[in-house]
Amino acid sequence: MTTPVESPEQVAALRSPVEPPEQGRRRRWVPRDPRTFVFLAVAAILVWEIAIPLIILLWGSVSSARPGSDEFFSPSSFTLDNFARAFDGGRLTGVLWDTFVFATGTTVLAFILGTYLAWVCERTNTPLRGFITLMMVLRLILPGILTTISWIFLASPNIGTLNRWLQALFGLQEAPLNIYSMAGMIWVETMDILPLVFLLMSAALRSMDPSLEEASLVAGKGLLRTTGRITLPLIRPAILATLILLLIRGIETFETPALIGIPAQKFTFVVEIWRQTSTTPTDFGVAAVFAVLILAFCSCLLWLYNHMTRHADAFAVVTGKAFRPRRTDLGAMKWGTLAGSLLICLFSLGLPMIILVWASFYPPSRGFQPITADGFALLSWDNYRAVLDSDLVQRAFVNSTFLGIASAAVVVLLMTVVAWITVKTSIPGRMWLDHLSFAPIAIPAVAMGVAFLWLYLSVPIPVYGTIWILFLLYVARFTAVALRIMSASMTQVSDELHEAAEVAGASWWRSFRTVTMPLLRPGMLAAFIFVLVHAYRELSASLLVYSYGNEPIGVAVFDIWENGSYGLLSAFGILVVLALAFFSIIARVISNRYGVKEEQ
Amino acid sequence: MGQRRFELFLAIVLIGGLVAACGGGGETSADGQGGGEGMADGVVVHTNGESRADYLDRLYKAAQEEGAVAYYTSANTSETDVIIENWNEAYPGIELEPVSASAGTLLERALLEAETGRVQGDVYHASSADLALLEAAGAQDDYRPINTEDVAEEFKPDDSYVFASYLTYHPAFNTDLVDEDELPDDWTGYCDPKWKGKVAIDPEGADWAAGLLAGMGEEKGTAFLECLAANEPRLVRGTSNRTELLASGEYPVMLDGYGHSILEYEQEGAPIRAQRPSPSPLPALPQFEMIFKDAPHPNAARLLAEFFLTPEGQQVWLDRNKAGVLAEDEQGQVNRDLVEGAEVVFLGPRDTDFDAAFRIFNDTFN
Repeated sequence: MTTPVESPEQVAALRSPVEPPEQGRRRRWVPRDPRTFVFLAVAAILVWEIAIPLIILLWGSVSSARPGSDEFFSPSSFTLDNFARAFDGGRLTGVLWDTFVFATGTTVLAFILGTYLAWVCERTNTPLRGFITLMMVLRLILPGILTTISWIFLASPNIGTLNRWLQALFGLQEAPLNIYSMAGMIWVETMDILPLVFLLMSAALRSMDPSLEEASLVAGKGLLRTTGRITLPLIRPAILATLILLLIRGIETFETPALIGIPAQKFTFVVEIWRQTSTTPTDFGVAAVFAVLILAFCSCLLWLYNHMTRHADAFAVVTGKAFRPRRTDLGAMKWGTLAGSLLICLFSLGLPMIILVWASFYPPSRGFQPITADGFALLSWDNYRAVLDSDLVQRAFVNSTFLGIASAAVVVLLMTVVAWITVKTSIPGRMWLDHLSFAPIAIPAVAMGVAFLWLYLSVPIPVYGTIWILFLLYVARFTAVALRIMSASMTQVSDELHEAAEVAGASWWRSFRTVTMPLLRPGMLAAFIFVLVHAYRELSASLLVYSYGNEPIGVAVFDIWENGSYGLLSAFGILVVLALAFFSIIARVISNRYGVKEEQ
Repeated sequence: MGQRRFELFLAIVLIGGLVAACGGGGETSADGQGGGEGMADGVVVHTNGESRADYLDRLYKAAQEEGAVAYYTSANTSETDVIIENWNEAYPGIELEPVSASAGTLLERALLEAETGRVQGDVYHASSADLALLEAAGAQDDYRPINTEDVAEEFKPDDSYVFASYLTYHPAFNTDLVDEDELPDDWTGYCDPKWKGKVAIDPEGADWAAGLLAGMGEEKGTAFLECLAANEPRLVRGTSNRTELLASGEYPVMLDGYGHSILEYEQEGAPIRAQRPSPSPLPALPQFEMIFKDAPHPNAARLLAEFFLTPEGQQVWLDRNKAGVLAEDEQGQVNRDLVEGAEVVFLGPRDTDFDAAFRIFNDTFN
């Protein structure tokens, strides 16, 4: 992702971070510097939160002893049995292939559709751009498990509403769509992941210098040629980084492979981990092996990601100057792009929401029935009543709200400090903080859950069985994206004001608090909302460590799915979407208010 | 510098506060689990020939002193809520702290506790397969319950298990898609090509397979599973999900529905019905209330296990149409009607080879 830099001073600041005058005289790292303590405190938190679970997971894959037992860390427990079991029976090849096809297919399709939408909204004069953006933000909110279920209702060969409609429309004997296939899996996951691509690519397109594009257009190269020859190469680093993030997401996602992949006989790594840990006899050793394999692959991708974003920064520095990308006037073609965008929104959000609303009003314990005129007579509020009456649902809303706000606040504060240390200081070892904070993006959620389970079952800290283990888990889960957002914001903040404050006698902390942090507010708010929304959606990792009374919303969704009816689940899902939309609006109102103040 | 020192102090206090809050939160809400290691200080109450009421009374008093009981269960939360409500009514003053997680996670935790000697649980709601593993790990405390007067004759304990309920697996069909007459009388009938791709089973259905293998014998049972696999059954995970999809008409038949769940759909008027009589053998999975060896609250644990053999303790299962073990309950009769005409195979923890069933099932279907 590109990180625009506003002034030559900032470029200089980036390349050689300026020391505040008081410390500037001392070239060496001085332990009495309060920044050192901040560095050490943050490093300690990150080591505990991320490095230690990771080490336990890695060792668990090669240890014959159960984590927590005295022999666990003894070298004599070293074994490759877990790997042998994982590779036994030739099952791994199939899993590897299915995971590969699923992840790459999703990546390619989601990237094309998401980039198209981002281009339409950021760089063209297509009407209803704000509406399309809003649809994508709302889409981000819908929990993945509901997307998957809604697509079973839409495109199952036997009960899918779309199939019924298409069969009636074209007089077909056979259902034309089959969701239970690799293509179906890729489609559903693409619909779920689309908003992420949209947000990432929008940011990239917004922050690029359009002068070269304009030159190309002026030279009569035409829109398509300009896009292909100028725009895409310009944002190539952002494109590659987005593709890598998508690939990682495709590998670690759970809902679609579990609900559609298993009936379709397509098994991915994460489903394998789930199978090993959810059914008797459990085999956490083999689960750890699968997790480690994913981790190794994702780490390679992560290395590539870091490599490419480093280039992206350099790129931004070279072309960096104040600019405002101009929109291309598409002429009559804008109606075509609008139609294309609305079609994507319809498939991504419209149809799933329509089917969920329908299912939410259908009577409980009756199964799902496609939308028909006769069905309307049966609709009732029963599911909503049952959901609102449920203690579990009430607890889940309270728990997730607490977990979302608490973990978002801590993650944002922590990553603000990390971003500050890595971008604005020259403390030795600062890049380790960056790597450590970014590493969780390569750890599949299920593996993270396993690692936390082992850690807190082993150490005498009474966190297991309380809501705090979820809090600690969420903090570790969401550092990576928050860090990227905060690093990008941090590079945009000039050092001059901070330095001026220190010259004027303010302490480091005072100048950080009163000068730097207010300037970072928009970035902090974006990161806060990102973490909050994802904390509400989190399922895979929570399932392993939650306990009675501490169920977050993702677990409640799963609990209702395992034990209740689709109607209840849909009603609950609609309520979750409404709650998150409400939070997003509140956040937007707050940010607008702050924005006004800052302008004054 | 004074300002800086103050801010450093503030930072340390804040971080310390956060750590304390984490720890504090743990202590307040994790009573049952954080109750310390090993046996509680009090003495374990044993029967000494007195009446049942006197013994339970003594047990209750001792349990009150312990104050809490940690109950490990993978049951869903609405069931757990009912258990807590009825328990509080029957035995006020002893806090029931449920520890819920998925079956696999919970088992991992209990095994870990047993193997490391850091037992925090008191009672574990275990299926036969779980109990077999827990027993092998030395996690179970032998306890023969005393509250067995109302228990049906066939369910009276003959060893030291507290057997309080059971699940049965039934074939069920969608009445809009298939006539009951079309269903085959025996399991191998589902290998007929006419059922190809039309029956659903659980991809994690090793327990169901264990019942068939036990009832048919390994050779015949394996042959059936193989011919079923060749008929390309639909693998759909989640029992409730599988039943919902059956009711929705996604497939005409599922082979391994829970009896209680199908009854619920029948009562709601959904277009599904259990096959009556079911083909034999019909697998039944007993559920046990296992008392942990070295439980931190041994008396409360015994009292809770005894409670599950009373009508109040059984209520949670009866509410959900599940089969209890008491002779006189009406639900018991409904469940007995459901299995009538079929040869029921109870999967005991000691006499069932769950490992073999798991291996054969996985080799065949995954």
